[in-house]
Amino acid sequence: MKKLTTFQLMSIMLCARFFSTMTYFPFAYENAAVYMLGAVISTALQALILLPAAVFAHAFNGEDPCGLSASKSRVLGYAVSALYLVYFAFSAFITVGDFSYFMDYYFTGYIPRIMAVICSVLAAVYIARMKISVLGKAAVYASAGFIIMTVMVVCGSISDLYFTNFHFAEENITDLIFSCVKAEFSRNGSLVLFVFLMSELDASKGKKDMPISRAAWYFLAVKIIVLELILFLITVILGDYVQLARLPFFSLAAYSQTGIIERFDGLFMFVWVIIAVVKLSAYIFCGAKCLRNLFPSLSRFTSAAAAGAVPAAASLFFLIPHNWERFAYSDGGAWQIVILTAAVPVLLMIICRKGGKEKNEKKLG
Amino acid sequence: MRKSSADNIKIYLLVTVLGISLLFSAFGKTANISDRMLVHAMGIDPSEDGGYKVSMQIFKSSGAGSDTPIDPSQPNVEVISGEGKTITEAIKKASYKTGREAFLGHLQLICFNRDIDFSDPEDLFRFTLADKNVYLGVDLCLSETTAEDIMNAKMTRGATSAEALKKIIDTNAENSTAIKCEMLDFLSCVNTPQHIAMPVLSVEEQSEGSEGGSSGQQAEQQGGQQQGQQQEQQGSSEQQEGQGSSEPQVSVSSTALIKEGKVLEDTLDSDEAQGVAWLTRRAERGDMIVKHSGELINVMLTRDKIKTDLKIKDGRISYKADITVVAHANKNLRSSAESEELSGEIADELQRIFKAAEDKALRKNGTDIVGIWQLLRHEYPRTYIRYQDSLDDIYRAIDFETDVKVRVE
Repeated sequence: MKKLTTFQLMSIMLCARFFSTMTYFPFAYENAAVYMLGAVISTALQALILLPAAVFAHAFNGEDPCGLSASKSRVLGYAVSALYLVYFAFSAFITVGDFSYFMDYYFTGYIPRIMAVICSVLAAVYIARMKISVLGKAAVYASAGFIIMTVMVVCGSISDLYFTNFHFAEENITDLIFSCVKAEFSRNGSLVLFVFLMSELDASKGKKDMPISRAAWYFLAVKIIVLELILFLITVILGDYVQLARLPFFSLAAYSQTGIIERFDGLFMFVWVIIAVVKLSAYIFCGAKCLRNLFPSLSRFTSAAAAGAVPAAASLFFLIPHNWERFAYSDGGAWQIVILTAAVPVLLMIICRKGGKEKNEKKLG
Repeated sequence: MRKSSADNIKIYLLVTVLGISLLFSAFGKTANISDRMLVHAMGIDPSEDGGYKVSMQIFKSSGAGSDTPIDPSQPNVEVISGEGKTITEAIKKASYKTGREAFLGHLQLICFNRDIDFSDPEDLFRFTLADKNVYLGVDLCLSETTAEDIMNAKMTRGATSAEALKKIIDTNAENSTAIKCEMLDFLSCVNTPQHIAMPVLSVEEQSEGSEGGSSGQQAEQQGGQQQGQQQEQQGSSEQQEGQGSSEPQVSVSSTALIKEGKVLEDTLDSDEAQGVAWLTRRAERGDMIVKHSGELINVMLTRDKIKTDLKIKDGRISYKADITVVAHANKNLRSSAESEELSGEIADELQRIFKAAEDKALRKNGTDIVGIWQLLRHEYPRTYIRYQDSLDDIYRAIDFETDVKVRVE
């Protein structure tokens, strides 16, 4: 059965993160330069909380928390699967809602929100019901498209750099940095994706090469480099306009120009739509897998359809009456990422190791 | 061969997707290009009741027929106007006159009346912030008289009149005789000091056949020329063969200074604007006339290196600009001594225009268009936070030093 490569898993995680980067920055963080510092600190903390997940992966040969907990105890398996299902369903709900909300913003209401939801969910469900390698390949192309687009935007705006726009003149800078660390953390649902999808990795090379955790470290490295570059450009080109811009990266792409292309917002939109579908597919795939753990009789198609339809229907309750702002500009919170990425694997390691020890003692006895 | 259930599902999905796409295609709310009013330039004046009067140059092709949609010998614009309490309302009222929806994605220039209040850029430019089609780098300018006069000056250079207006500003900015201003420059001043330089356009009518006529200066030719073409009659400023109608002459008369929302009385002339352009690193080239050995010679300057720095030492703030330019004179220099002498004369002239710019903009009017406050915020953030509400005191007391090196080639 075709599995994910390290590079493909890294690409899926990058797509999930890049969608957030392309979609919005909250107004509260007016100084992109301070956010750059916060992002570096946050990435270091993310590397720390990934350590338990990496140890878990190698201790249990790449098995995911749901599978391991189910092998230990049926009730524990159901509990862990339900926990991850709720997270993935909520993440899919946020992703499809943000996609429709900002699609509406880009095209000034000519595309009905229900249309954007239906089209995106249909495409994502189709991808999610297939093998994980299909999603992995799509993610590779999508993240490559994002890198190419970013390079083109950089080339188009390099003549408009004003380094004097880069500053740390903020009162209460420590509080601001802390807020930025928290915000950056809350945008990294990719870490939960890593913990869940590491069982899909092709670990045929064995423990020695540590292919499993390599995806996470590569993700963190690429993410911080690309994010810092984008934040730097936004700071030195757009200056204090970022305080007004709802979508600073989109504004930067619209402002960049070369001798051939006057604006890059069309290219931005193209890449954004593809990345949105990849991110949504990843969450629906994971949600479908949790559903099959809870209800083993479900087929791949039925579980994927359910994992997509429920968040889509829920999002329409807020999108149609134009009530999505409460989700669009809110911080998702970092605690659920810490729990699902670090706490659950650590807990399972303790339980399963303890169980393993008792078994061994019984055998010897 | 029996189809598998997976194949059936794929077919059902495909049919569903196609059906949804067709049935729900924007629910009939499509916007054809013929239903849109393509705005190329906009003029904003205050109206009599305290609101705004907006005059817009919208695209109207003046082609001979289907083969030549655009006749470059015509202005290809018409001007419509509307009034409202806000600029957005004024634009809507103007669009009702044409029955088409305004599309601002092609907006190249916004011209303001000098009496417009710029103190709240977010409110003033709300009509662009809400519309993500508007390019952030739209050129801004002021009008010597009213913005409507600039909009009514339909020129036949370029494919559209707005293109010609933009070209005038760009050419002046490239040669450092004026300071260019983009919408992004204003929108960056939301919570920060507002010190802006903006070119001022003036228009004068000229008769056909004068040097200012544009018959020999058409920039882009689209569709070629056709004999016996029919020309649409548009307005008094249209140029027609065999008739004595006038072609308006638009020029950049000066560069205005805007501080904290108000357009100041003092303006920068072309020399002072050149000085500011070099100090703000916007200048790529410039021109000057220098007296050398009793005769006046033209010198073209190109930029080599510009470095600006701010230092706080012994309680005093000093601004220093190190500028190196390459000078090309229209005179044959016979010796290195003569070259050095000319180099000194050019450096002295540059120092003079830098001093003139410093005195007019910074000392007399407290307008920091060279970006001292940005340097202070960048290099000494704590000092900036302490003095951000009293920057005028800094401008009065700052030591301003320029070091000019000229290489004559």
